[in-house]
Amino acid sequence: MYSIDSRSAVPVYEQLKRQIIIHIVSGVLNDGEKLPSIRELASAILINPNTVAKTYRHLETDGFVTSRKGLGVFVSASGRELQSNRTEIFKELTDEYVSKAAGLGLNADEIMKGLSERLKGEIEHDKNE
Amino acid sequence: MIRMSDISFAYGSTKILKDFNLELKAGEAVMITGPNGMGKSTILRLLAGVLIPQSGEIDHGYTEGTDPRQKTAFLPDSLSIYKSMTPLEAAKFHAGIFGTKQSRLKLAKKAGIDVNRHIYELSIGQQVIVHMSIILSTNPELILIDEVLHSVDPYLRDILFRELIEVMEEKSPTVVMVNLNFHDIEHLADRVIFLGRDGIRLDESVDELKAKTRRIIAEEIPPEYHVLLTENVIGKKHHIVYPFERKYGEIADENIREMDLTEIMTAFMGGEYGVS
Repeated sequence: MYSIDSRSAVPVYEQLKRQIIIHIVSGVLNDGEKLPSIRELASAILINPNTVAKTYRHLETDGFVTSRKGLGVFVSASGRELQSNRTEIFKELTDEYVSKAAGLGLNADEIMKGLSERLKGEIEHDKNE
Repeated sequence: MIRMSDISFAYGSTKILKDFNLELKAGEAVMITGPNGMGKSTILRLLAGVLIPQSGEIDHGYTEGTDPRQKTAFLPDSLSIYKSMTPLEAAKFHAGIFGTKQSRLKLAKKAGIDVNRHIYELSIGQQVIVHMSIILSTNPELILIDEVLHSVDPYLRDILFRELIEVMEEKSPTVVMVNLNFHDIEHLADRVIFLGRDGIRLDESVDELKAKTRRIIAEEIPPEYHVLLTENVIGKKHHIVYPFERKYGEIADENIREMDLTEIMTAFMGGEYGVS
């Protein structure tokens, strides 16, 4: 389910949009799957229904979903879009990670070192497969 | 669009509102907050048509001759009326007076309230639910909710908000709520109005407000920043800055914090009281 961080300065519609995109890109939501109705989603997480409507409108403009009149809103991501979106989200995550690490006073070398240590085990694991 | 123009209102010699102006767009959800005694509840009563301003005008945008009370769901801060009735009787009575459809008390039933008991026998929270249950089922174009929700327990609050959200989704009414506590409803509002001593101190969309307010942890901050409030938190100075722009001086990222609506409103409140 989706959750809103009240303390974030990122608008609620934007937070919700990001979470749905991650669900689409990661396959939690499949191509053609129906999204919850505006009413269902708004009352499940107690947000303004206009906010959900805005999220769905933005997702539609960006090509992630199509709304069919009277039927609802459906996932509509094509494979090519999926790859570029994955790249986009990965970039955002990286930015967030780097700025948090920099906030701790670490320099680029130290951040790099920390990352390779964290991934060392997994890289060897991948090689052995 | 609802328009309050140059409204003045006083209880006896106590002036509450002076040359007050407010516009509400159709379908928006507005929270009004601020210290006690600034006229928040008065604004709701004026909008509901239960008080008449001494001067100024309120235009609800209805066709000539429409009684605004027919199109308004009003939950006042005192729930004295209907107490000697059962919820069923109250629903019937309400429909009779205001000429609206009689509520089937769906919300009250969902909350497990016996609709054949006297209202005075119910808890305050249950009374709020019954009241809400009656007024929400009248197809309102304007919903006015005063600060009464704090007496409702979290489980019933959830049920109540879900019902409100359904009505908002279905009918797109304009919603005005007076709130001192935002915790579980801050995502319902599009717009926040802070009412201070000198009238409207802040009127902004929630998204804009959150984008523009920051908590900065620093001994000293550049004088260009407009500080609402400075407080000492465990030996450190916190400055609440609004509007915040990232252009003056150097402040490290980890000393700049985003804030939720309750924190922001508390800072405005402190600023109003002159606390520092």
